[in-house]
Amino acid sequence: MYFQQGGGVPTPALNQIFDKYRESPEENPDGIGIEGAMRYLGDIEVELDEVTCLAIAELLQSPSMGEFTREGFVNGWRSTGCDTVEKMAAHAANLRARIPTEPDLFRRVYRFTFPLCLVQGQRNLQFEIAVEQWNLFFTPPKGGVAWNTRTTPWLDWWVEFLEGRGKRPVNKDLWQQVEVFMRKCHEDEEFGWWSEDGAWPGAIDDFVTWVRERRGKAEGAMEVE
Amino acid sequence: MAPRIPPTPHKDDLGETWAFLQSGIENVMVKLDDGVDMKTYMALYTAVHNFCTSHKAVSGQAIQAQRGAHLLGEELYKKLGEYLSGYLENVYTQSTSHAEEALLGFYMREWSRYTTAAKYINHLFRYLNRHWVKREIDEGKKSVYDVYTLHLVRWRDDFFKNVHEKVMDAVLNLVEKQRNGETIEQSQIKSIVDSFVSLGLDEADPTKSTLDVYRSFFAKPFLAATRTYYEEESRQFVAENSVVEYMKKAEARLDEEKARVGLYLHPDIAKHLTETCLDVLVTAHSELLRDEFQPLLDNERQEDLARMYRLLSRIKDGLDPLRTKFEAHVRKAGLAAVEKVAAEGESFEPKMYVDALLSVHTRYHSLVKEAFNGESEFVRSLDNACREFVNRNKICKSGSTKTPELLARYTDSLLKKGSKAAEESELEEMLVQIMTVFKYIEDKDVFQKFYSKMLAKRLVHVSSVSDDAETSMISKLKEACGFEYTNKLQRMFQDIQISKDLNASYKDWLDKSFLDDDDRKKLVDSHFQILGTGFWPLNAPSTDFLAPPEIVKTAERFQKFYFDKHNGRKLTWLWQLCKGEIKANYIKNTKVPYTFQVSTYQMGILLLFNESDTLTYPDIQKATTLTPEILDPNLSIFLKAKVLTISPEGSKPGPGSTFKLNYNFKNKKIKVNLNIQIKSEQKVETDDTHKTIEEDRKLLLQSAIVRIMKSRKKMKHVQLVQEVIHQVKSRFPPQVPDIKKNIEALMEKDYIERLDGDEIAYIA
Repeated sequence: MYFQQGGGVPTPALNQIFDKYRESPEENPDGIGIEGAMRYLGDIEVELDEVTCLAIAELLQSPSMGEFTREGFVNGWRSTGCDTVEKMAAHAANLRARIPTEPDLFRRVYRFTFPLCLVQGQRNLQFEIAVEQWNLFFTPPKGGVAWNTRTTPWLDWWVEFLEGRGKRPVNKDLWQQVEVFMRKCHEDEEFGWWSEDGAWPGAIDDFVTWVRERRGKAEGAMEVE
Repeated sequence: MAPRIPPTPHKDDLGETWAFLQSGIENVMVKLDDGVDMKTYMALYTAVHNFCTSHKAVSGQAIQAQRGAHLLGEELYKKLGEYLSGYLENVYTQSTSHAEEALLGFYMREWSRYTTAAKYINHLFRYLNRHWVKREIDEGKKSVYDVYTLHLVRWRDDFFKNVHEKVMDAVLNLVEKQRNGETIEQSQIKSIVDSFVSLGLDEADPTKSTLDVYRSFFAKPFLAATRTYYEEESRQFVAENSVVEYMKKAEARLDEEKARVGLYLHPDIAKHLTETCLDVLVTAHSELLRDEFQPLLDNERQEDLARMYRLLSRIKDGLDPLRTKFEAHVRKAGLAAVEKVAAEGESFEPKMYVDALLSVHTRYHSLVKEAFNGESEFVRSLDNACREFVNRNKICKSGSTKTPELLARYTDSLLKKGSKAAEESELEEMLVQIMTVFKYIEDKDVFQKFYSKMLAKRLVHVSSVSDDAETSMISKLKEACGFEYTNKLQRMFQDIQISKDLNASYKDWLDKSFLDDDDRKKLVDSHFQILGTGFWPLNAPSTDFLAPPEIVKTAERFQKFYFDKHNGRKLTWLWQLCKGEIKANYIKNTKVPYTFQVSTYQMGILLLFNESDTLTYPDIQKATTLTPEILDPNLSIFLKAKVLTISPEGSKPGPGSTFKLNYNFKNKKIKVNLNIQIKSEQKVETDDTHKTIEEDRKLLLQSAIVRIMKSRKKMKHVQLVQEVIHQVKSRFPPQVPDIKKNIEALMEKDYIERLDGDEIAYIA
């Protein structure tokens, strides 16, 4: 209701755009497949390996990577008030600028990525896919937020830590909490906010210990020098 | 001899009246012993009366008359007061020539004379009291008293104020003498106390008395002197004697002072006196006393500890430091006792360990009871200490599950046939002791696991020493941990009972069934136990086994009977638990053939030799399908007992060996037990038990989490963890990381989910 009132974009215009990118109108009249999606993203000037692409997927509620449904497409764009490809491109550009600076938007896109990237039939994200997405989200070049600081290469250590414990698949809770953790690390790199009895997933608890040990060793090494 | 009476005065002449009265009063005051005759007395009384009423008659005007009566009464009252002051001044002058006990004597004599006289004089002035004084008081005039009280006030203000210090000095000197062990005239002090109390006048309400005078002029200096005396005495005593001696002294002094109150002091002082004594005798030396606590504990000086307890329990926070020391001491003692057992190496008996734990508990339990009055805070310290050393000591260094395991093993050794506790009552006593240790165990689930395993064995092998003892132990556990804890144990008992009935009806069924003669001849005397899978901690056999045909037939026959009765049930044969006896008819050197007590596996091996005297290892393995892990040790048992011989001689059972029946077998006993548990089996069993404990704990944690979340729907993560700990701790002390792990596991299974702000929600 809200979106309809706010946007006021006529549905036919959006349907027309949607129809243009369908691959097989007979077999799949209400869906855009991978090829169409790539073409469409190209037209609105969004690259496939940037966070903005995932933001578009979130906006249009893609069922999986590189797929759009008519319902999601129409509802999504109607809520923004965009009814031409040009406006959509402009909106995408706007998203690109906002993602690194608006934590709520960032979190929404980040969380949507988990179901989006799941291999069909699996509950947990494969380790390699998770790492790929973290690299996207937690470094600036592709529109993410940097998680490496001057004192601590957080993202690199996080990945190294997980590799060390056997590249286990990442469950939804861990995926979501990593982003919360990332923000906390920016607040205080010395873990003043962390407690053993806190609600963090076990993997993050272990990581905190791991980071502390690692820092301890580094300091020890310096002393030896 | 009555004194000469002056002529009756004119009733309205004050000077004349007073002069008349004064001489009468003087007589009462000074020569009361000589007596006052009725006539004189009446004359004096009348003089007062006449004086007070005189103006009424003269003026005839009511108001004036009253005013006149007032004025005249007042004059008389004033004159009396002045007379008393004068009299007391004289008494004071006399008193100055007395000191110490003589002064006390003097004071009491004068007091007694004065107060006696006061009573009479009060009587003489009754008319004044009743009218003038009453009216004055009714009108709220201060410092007007009835005539008796006036005497006391004058005594207090004109005499007492001047001598009380000297009197008290004398009193205190006497008390000090008594404290030093001399005999004194106590009654004198008692009189002084009473007189001081009598002087306590309530200015607001003359009918009441207060203890003000006693408190300020007696109690206060008395307490101060007491404090000084004991400060000095205790300081000196401590310097010259041991703390133990000092405690005796202090206790005796406290008793003495308490008795002193009853002997000659006013009870009002009791509380303050005790407080003063405690302060000086105990509080001031409490550090010293406490420092002695450890040595006394070390030397088990129960009586002295009891004395210290009694003394320190009477001062504020006196015992707290002792409790801490006591707890640490007991824990140390417990750890040391365990160390001793641990020094024996791996091979100690569970009994040794349990006895070590118990002995420490028993010793300090009785100390708490005898020396510390069974005080609940000391009981708590004892419990804390015991819980510590029972769960965390050298023997359970690898994990706190060792104590419950050993306790269960010890219990098993008592409840198993062949235990040394012969008497039933003795056994019961030991079970009670086991529960004492059990109470302190944190991993109660571990005890349960081991206990049920061993109970299962006792039941299956009919090796319980007594059903009553078994029942008693289970009801104790039930009492301690609830129905759920012992539910399965009780179901095991039921199964055994049901099996007994079942076997009886099987016998009947067998008699009625149509078996041919050959079958009847080969009938094996059998007994079956049906054990419910869910209740018994038993596993399926770890090896394949082809049972001997005789056994197979027997089993099949029973199965037919059983399935007729209970359609749709499934039976699994637990061969590893079955056993039997076989007769060795082939050995000819005895009249009565040997009977071998064997396991079913052993039976399977031995019966093969009915067909052939010599068999190779592969023959046996093929016929029985037993795995080498089971087959080899059993063959070794036969070799060791010389039931079989091996070739090549002296080799170990293996694919290359051949076995031969030994016709020359010899044994002292006719019944030979070959069914011996194999060491490695026991080890595997223990490891298995520990593994199932881990699994069960995971389940317990997860079901607790689900249960809590189901009822709360939404909850903070921290609270959830706390609630889980609360629910589970009666079984084992859960670790926070384990709880978190299981919360995560349930999130993954979509039972619960995380909301923002570390809240957990139940997913219906």
